[in-house]
Amino acid sequence: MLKFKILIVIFVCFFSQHVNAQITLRGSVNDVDGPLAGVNIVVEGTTIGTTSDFDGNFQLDVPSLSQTLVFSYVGYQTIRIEVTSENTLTVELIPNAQYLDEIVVVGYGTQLKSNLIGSVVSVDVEEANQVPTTNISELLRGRAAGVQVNLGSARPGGNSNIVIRGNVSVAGGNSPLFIVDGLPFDNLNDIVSDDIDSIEILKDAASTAIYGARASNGVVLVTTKTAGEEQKVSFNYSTYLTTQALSKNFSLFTGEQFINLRREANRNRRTGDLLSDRIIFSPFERDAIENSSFVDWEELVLNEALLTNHTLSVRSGNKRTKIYSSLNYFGQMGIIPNSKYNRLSFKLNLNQQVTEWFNIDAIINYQDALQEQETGGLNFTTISPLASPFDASGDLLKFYLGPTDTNNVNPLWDQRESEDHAEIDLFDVSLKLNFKITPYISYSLKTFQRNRLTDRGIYRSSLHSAGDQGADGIGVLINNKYNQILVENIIQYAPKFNEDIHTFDITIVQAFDQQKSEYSQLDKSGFINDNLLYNGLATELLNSVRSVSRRRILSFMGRTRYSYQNKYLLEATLRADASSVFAQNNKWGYFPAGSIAWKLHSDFFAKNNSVDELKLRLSYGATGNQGINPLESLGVADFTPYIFGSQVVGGATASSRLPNPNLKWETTLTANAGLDFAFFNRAISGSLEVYQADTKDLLLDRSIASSTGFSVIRFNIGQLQNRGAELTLNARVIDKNNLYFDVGTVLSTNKNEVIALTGEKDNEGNFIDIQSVAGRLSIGQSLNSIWLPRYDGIFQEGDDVVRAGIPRAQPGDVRVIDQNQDGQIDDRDNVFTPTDPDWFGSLTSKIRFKNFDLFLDFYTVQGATRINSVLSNGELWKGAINGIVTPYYTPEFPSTNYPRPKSITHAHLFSFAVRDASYVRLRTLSLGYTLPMQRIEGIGLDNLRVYFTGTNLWTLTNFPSYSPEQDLFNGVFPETLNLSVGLNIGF
Amino acid sequence: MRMYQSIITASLFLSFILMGCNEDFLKDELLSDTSVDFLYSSPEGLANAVVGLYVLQRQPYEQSTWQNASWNGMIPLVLTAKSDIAVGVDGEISLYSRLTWGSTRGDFGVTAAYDFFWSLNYKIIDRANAIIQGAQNLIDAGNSDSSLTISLAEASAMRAQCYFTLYRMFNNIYVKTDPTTPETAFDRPQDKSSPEEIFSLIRADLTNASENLSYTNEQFGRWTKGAVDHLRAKVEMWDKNFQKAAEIIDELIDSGIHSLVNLEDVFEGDLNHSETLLAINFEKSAIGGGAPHITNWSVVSYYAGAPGLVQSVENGGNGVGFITLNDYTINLLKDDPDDRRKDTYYIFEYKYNDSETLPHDKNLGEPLNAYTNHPTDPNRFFLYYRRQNPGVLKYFDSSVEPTDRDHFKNIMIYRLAESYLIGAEAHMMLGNIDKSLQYLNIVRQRAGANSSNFVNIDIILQERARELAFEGQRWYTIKRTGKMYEYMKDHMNNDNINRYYYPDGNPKELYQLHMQHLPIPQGQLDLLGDNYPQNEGY
Repeated sequence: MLKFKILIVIFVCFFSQHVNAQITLRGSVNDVDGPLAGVNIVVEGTTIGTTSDFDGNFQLDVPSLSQTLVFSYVGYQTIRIEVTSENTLTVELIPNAQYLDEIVVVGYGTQLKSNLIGSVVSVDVEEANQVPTTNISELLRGRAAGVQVNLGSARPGGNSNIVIRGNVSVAGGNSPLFIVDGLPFDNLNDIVSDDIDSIEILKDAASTAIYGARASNGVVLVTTKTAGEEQKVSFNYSTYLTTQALSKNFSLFTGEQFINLRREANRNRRTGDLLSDRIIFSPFERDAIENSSFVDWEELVLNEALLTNHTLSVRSGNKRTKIYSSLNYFGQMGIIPNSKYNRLSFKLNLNQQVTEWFNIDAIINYQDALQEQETGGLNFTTISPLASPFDASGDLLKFYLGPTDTNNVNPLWDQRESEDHAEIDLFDVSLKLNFKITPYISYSLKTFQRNRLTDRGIYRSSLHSAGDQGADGIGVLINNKYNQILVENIIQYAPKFNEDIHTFDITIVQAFDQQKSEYSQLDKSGFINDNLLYNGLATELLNSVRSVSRRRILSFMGRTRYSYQNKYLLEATLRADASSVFAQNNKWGYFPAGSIAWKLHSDFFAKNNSVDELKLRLSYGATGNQGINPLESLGVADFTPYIFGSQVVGGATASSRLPNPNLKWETTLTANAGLDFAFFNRAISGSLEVYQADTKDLLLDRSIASSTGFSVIRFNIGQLQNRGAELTLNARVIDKNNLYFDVGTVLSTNKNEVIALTGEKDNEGNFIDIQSVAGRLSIGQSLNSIWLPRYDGIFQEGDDVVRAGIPRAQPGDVRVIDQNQDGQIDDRDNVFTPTDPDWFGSLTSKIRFKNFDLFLDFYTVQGATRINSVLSNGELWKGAINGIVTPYYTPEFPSTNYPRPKSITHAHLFSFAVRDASYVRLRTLSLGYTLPMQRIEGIGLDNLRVYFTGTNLWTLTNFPSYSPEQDLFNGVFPETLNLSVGLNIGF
Repeated sequence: MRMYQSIITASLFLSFILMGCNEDFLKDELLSDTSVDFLYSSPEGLANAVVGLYVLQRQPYEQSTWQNASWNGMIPLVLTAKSDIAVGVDGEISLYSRLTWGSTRGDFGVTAAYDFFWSLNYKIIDRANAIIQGAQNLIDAGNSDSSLTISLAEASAMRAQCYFTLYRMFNNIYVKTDPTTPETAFDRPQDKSSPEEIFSLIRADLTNASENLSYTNEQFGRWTKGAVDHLRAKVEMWDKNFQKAAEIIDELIDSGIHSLVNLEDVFEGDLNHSETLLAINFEKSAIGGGAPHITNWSVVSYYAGAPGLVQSVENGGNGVGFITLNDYTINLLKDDPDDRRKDTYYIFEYKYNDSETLPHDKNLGEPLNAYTNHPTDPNRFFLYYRRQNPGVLKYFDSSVEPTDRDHFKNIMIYRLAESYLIGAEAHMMLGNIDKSLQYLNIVRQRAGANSSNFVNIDIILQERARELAFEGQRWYTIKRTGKMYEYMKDHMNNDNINRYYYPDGNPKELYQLHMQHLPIPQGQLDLLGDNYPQNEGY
């Protein structure tokens, strides 16, 4: 788009003449490509005005000379010209570079941002890249309306889950399709964040239908960096160092508190007498109490940990060859011992113009990653503080609750006695051959091959609690080979005729995609010694697994785009997909979509200076979800050998999943309406979208009565609806040389509702609910719901427990509502509580003052609900395990919010533990300083920036946890508060 | 121009090839899994499927079964906890003894254990249905492979056993003999089957199995004619057909294949001896050897918690003492001082064996005597129960480390001693008192106890308690004989723990007549149709 960057000259030809009352001015308005129609021309300070016609000509009567004419047109800089003669004016407008220059990547092509019809959001990569992680999904959090990111695993090398516009599927998965440089990626984290040039998120069917049966969850398009045509060789080095620390909003019971908790739990409910310590504590624990030797496991186990990232990249480009290449090292230690993630990545993007009509795009990615994980059972939140992890000389003790309590092994001991390494090698090669057959027709052959080899070894030594029961060590070897092949034939036809009025293009694609996974696992025991870990030879084979799966998709796609007068835009797509995972009789699915857009500002606000853009977009279309696993339409048997005497005999049993020979894709029909707007020279801009997505032929895992011998079968039945609205708003408050200040916000709301299920009715004529594996589904309720009796406080002395429906309840027990008032609490008293947030969003601000820059990013989730699994754990209320400190009920200090500790498991703790998980968080604060050019030019640098970034610095929430995105279950890897310092050098 | 034309032609050609063969190309294939079709369409497949039934039959005991993994190995002991011979002290399993779990329609114990019983038995039934149908189809089609009749017979025995178990537990059950297909998966039976229908199917299956299986099988652990006939006798006893039961037991005993072994050998080693009729097999570190069980841990006391004792083979290995013998059973075993069962099947004395922590007033080798089963003070009786109360050694694997919780001992399901006691009961009911006493006394004499010269149903039940406690039969037996309500009210658990410890109230007072049937889990009931009857009282 260099042509837009050419400086524009304004030609004003004038000859002086004398003028009387009414003067008629004539002229034409152009940009570099030719005449501009619809340009708004007004006499400053008056209402006199006109617009240019199709040929860019205009005619305007003015009262006198020496007037100032204002020329404005969306996407162009407004200019003022003083008219001093009656001569014909020729005005050339300069495009508003920062807007019109933007080219947005869409499926199988690009589009000018102003010409977008579908719902496509571009993520600000610079803002996104502030988070120090390899978890690319986390970069998208709060960056685009309608895109919800849920923290998956916070461990080094972990993953998060992206949900675009709500869950459209129960069983088929809700992860969007990831397309990186036009290639489908199975894992978004295989991209190095520093390589990312742009991220686009396609949300409505008009944009995604081009991806057919994989598109109903939305599409994330990532484009990596390339070089320009006249790019001198330039290097960029960036690095940061991050320290990760625990952040939390609750305390665990200290030794003394824990003792009191257990005493209270074992108090006689009838007499109020305490049970003797001799009974409720072991001799070992009594010693610990006597000596006050308590352990803070959290402090003992968790350590602050460092993270480093280095990227060196080079760009170089000329007319024939364009290269971008980078080398990245990422190293992260986890705050849990034995957890870490290291990755070395190499990337090469190459474009070579071979002849006038033939060029090649080549992509090579290579990665070598090592992930280490702790051994299981590191439940530092729940371990009793009455423990001795070390002996007198400071060595680890195996049994932390005393030598006779052999069932409780010191978790740190197990960490020492175990290794879990996974080495992941990734190799991608893509070659795209582009042929320009005629000036209007081009053909591309795209090929892609990905190989990912995962080699994992787990070793539990002969001293580890799992390897010690006479096994002489246990080793597990896992190999997984993932292979993907893609071949696409793409034909594009873009004729040029009468371009001002009609533009038109057609894209036709034929594609084939195969993904294959081969998994092997060997479990061994009886190692000679522990020295060689899992690489040693062993005497016994405990288990062997081999699992091979494959899915293939064959597709045809066509798309046409048309625009009339650059005001009315039209687009239509049709994709046909056949997938191997579909059942034999349902192989082909068809996914059409259409959309229109109308640039309202051209018609209605052409005379209004302050309206830069107003575009209405409407779309409707169908997309699919092929979330069926291979073999689900076939009957599969589990391998079940048995030993008779000393003779092992092979066996097999039909698995608990009953096959369905008629499985097919889910279809989501999405209607979308959007309004893009920009005012006051784009000082305020944004967009508003509303949508409704109906998913039918829902893939539902229905529970079957287990008296059939099966537990589950997958069906295409039922209907689900997502409705929502999204607002993106950006305001440039100050934009001066030395001071810049902007504010942006992204708000999303989505309502999910089950519309139809099996259609079966119960005796009373109500549609029956479905017990799916994901939870209970009921018409009118959200897919993501908790279905439990409603918590109603804590029973107090004198409460009528019989009427409450819990006749055996005692003061201090959890009270729930007996909805049907039949005097007992059971399933029929359950109610639905949706867990999805009412709305979520972010507020960001960028401030630049001289060479300093500040970035703030607040993120909020409101109205989300979650079960807190520490509070719901009966063992906590028994004083058997540690957990969140609460002001629990005692007869002396009856609490109305927390139950009384009790020696047996409380009923209805899950209802009690349903908690609001809303939060507001300062997700990123980044302060940077860019050295002035004159300082660095002398030493041969192009730029140098240093910065400090804090992540998760402040959180406001009532949900006790390490992060409101995380439940505090056993074995959770805490999300951390991160402080980074970084450096960016260009040379 | 020519060059790229040929490229286009080539790639279009490629597309058409892909399209042309898409039938095969897009086929979903089993690349590493076994097809269900194979299982039921060949003699080899059916033999594999039969082995699968044994694996399912082992699941209740395995610690890897998630109900066991989540709740301390409770599944194999649930019915014992609900019977009159045990006292639940601690752990999830004791909640069944206390009637906190498993005694109302919606409580968690019903969801946790009963749902498992219901689902597993019906799952075995469905797989057995498929085997029986598949074998029958092959036989009808003229396949004369001799393994078909054996597979058919083993599957029939399994199916009969499961229906019998379900009926005894849940009463309101329904019978189906066709394997489930996607078309029938959502059929709702709407009503229970009649006892006549249930018993007629069980009898037909057992007749078939008995006729086609032999008394011995070199593959120990498979159903044999002896096991089938023993089960048949139990079925006939349930149906009050004492004549038939007596005949079957007489034939089984007279066959001479099975005989009682020395008391010390009954639970010794891998149980592969002449008394065993059916056992579940385990083998450590062997493919097909199953996941370990931790039943011994639950039923042996936590004696190692007492100063002066550490886990040892002599003391019964690693125990936690969640559920052990109650006073009723202990006193029965103490009735006759010569009865050696208290020191073979059970452990009444844990011996001091750790000189380092030995209290000064004790000697090594002396029985543990530090705690008192106080009649009212929970501070005293609780530790007695946890650490000193007699335990059960029937699940003890002496080959693993004494500190190990994971055991791989084979588990006894049916043995000839029970056949004798069934025979004694059947002959007593028929009035053949001599024969009855003969059978009864064979069992007593083997244990070193004095012969009885008198017999009635209470004496039979007492002897069964002594001989068979914690083998999983007691709950059925007292239900069958109509004694459940009376016995539970009389001696369930122990009175001090009933009255002074259980926080939810005295289980003896909470116990009600309808509890002789287990409630059908509500979740299952919902899937069976709106009119499907829950057991009365729930």
